[in-house]
Amino acid sequence: MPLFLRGVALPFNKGQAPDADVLAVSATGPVYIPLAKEEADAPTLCVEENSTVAAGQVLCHVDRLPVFSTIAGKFIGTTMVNHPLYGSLLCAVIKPTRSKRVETLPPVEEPDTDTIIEAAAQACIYDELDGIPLADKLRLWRMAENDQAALRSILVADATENDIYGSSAWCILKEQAQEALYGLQMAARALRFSRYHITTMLPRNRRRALKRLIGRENVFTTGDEYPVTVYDDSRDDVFCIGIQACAALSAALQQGQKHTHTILTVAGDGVPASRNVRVPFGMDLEEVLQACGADPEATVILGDAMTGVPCQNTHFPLLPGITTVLVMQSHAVRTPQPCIGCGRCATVCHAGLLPYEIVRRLENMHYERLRYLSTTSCDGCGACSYVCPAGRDVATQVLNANETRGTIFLNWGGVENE
Amino acid sequence: MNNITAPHIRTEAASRHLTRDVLLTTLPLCIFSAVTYGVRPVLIVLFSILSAIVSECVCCLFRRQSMQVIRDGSAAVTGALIGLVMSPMVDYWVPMLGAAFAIIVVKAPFGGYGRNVFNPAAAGIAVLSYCFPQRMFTYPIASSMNPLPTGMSVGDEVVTSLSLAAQLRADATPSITRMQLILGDFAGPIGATATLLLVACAVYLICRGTISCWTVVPYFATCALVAWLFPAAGVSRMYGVLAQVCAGYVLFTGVFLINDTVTTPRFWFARLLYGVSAGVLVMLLQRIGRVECGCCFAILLLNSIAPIMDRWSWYVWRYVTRFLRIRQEVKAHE
Ligand code: SF4
Ligand code: SF4
Repeated sequence: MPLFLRGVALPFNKGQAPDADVLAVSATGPVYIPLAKEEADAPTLCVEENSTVAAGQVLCHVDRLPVFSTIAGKFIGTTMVNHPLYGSLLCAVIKPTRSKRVETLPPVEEPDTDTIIEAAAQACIYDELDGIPLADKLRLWRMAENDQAALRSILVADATENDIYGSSAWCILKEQAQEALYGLQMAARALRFSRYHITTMLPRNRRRALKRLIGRENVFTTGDEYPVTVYDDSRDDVFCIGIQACAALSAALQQGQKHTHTILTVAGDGVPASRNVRVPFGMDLEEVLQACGADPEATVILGDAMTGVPCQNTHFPLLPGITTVLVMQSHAVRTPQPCIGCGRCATVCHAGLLPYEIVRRLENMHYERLRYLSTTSCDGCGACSYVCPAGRDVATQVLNANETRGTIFLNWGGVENE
Repeated sequence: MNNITAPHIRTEAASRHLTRDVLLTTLPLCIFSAVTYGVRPVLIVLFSILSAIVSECVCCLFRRQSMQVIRDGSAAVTGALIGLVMSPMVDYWVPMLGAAFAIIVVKAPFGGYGRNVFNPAAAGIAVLSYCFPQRMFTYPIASSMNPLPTGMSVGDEVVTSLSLAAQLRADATPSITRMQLILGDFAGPIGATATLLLVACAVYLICRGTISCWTVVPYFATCALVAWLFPAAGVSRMYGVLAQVCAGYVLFTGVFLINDTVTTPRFWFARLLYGVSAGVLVMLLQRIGRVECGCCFAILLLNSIAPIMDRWSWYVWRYVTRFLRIRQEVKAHE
């Protein structure tokens, strides 16, 4: 019901970043490559300690997927690292050296379903939208031959970058649009989908340039609401992958390049200017911030302005799934006031929930009512908190309600646990 | 650091901007009244606002709350709305009493702005209309060019008239032309006669997003429909519709009272239902009620069921759309 469930138009503040060249930042300090969650699960390594490794050289295999070094350097050993999103991780430590050695894969001559997925697995391509390996997604979605469902399915490269600051997808579209399209084509071939396109939300001049470059039929422009829910104007099933992953797939198939680097937007009022930087995975975030001239006092937020996670210290490796890092000096902190019932949170909620009602139930401890309010449909997009004129943290509370539902509180309300 | 939660950017809009918008729209109404009657109406509104703010401060003292609360402007809005529905010749203490009642009895005990169940302004007006109908519903004739005196009370020297609503109820044929109705040139409350201005206020508030067209439009549509279906005796149908919508507080209620966000439903479908039921109830009470401001009672009545309306309309909407979606999907996969 797009007429009634709208989302919110965010004020873009992307600055010069989409136009400026991508700044390549190379690691000077150690790079951390995650191997396992716990020390006990440490995989068997195929390299020795203190040996030199090339960029892309396989360190070990986890679940049959290769884990490789993202830079050329010296493998020193393993250590535990604390990451604000993934918790504690056992990481391999690579110290950069002057060597520029890069290991590549053989290019794929005639890609078909299996070889494409295999190439994605061997190049260890991660989808930047959610940090999941692309090969896993493709395997999950792959349709059987002659499956009718494939006709109703669309593969979408999500380049909407519907965020106030983020612009890494815009950069890819500017610099590697054709490669990204090729990657998308190949991914669609792997899934046996006949339809695919890149979904964007570019301003008009950029959109025109893009359409001229890769063809009008391959670009779909969505409305400017946050969060994006319309990736296609038909009612068919939509499957989304990231645009960076598409570009990486193309590089892996054509040149055999492994996915070692990502493009990241560093923005906010704590940096002199928003920049897009190309950095290796596993690089220490602190180094990236220093390279961008970030204010050391400012708050660092991992992720975009709507859903990002503030982090206390910045010494942790940069892992897939993040395309924006915000450095904020000023911070929008409002003292929450009572809900005045304006109903804006319900208007913008793309899941069609009643956020104020969920919060009220939670505050009044009517936990048994929460299950009638479909709290699980909330994806934490933050639109409701963004619009709330009373400055309430509606989204956080709705997510809390989500957790609360499954716990002891359900029994408090006199409802039996299902 | 721990109290920082996403989103890290918020809209500029704050609760006080919403109340500020409403206060701003009362300004032209006051000016309109001042042009017709002199400064007395403006003083009435000001005293009413003052009384509301002082009452809020007293309540803050009792609740050991910071006085900062009055900055949200909700008390001022309540005061202004009560002041605007007074007769221009009412004694100053009447609206002051109403505003104090609204804040001290209807708003503060529930926990203040955002937690009250009933619309304070409607409750204040309702109480006044029951206690002092004589003072509230005697209106000076608008076209008398000499301004009203500003003393404590206005004596017999002013020519008074029955209000339009009272005339319609008594099945008399009003002598007011359509043009006069539209321009607001007839006897009535301070802020409730300026038809064109009120419509402009509504449009402004809708454009600002302060009030929702989901309530306003169904409300007026229902009012007009009821007026058309049950015309007043002795007047033509079209004139009857115009007169009934402009008479009394019907228009004023549609712009201000039914749009108090705190006490109305928040979900669009519930708002629509609320608007329609408010329209029916208001017209009903307008016809058969004992006092002229049946609107306020209608609003208070609906306030009590607004939360239930809100929830249930959402449940219904949710399940209907889910059912439709599932059917569609089943069809697509067949
Ligand atoms: S955070 Fe949840 S409740 Fe709030 S708008 Fe997004 S989906 Fe709706
Ligand atoms: S947006 Fe905020 S103030 Fe408005 S209804 Fe939702 S929670 Fe209440």
